[in-house]
Amino acid sequence: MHYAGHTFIAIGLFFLVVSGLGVLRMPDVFNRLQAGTKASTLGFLGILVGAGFFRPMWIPRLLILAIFLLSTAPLAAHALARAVHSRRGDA
Amino acid sequence: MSIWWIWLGLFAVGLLLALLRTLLGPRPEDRAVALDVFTVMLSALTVLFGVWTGNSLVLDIALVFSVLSFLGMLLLGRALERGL
Repeated sequence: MHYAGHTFIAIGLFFLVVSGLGVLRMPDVFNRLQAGTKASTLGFLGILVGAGFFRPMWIPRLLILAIFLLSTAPLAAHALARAVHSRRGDA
Repeated sequence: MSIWWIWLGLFAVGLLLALLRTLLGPRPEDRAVALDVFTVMLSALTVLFGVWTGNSLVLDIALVFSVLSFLGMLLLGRALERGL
């Protein structure tokens, strides 16, 4: 049980570090947005699955967190991308 | 020395990368994108800390922080687009 939890936490942490690396190293604003947002969503889901393996009593609240993140992270990314696009169109 | 300290170190690396882009992003949009990634990472760190210590109240803290960061990102995008 703990081995599976640590495995999923390691996968989530890998994707979180990759998202930080993409945000730091990508050359353009749109590249940074794409790399950071997708990888951080996947990493957060990995951390949540690992937490569910460690504490099975917390699964309903972890599910609420996962549904909330999956429904709001694309909205935030879309708002930021539209702001970037409108500012880029001015310049 | 358990394996949780290694996870905390990896979290420190990821948070440092996002924070670096937040500090030295040349334009305000770069800072906003990096801050979005930073808040998602911080929420994941809160969940991991709750699993480590066994305190289930931390999950509520993570949920409220996620809601507030989502509203902040919407407001930041709107403010960048057409001003406050």
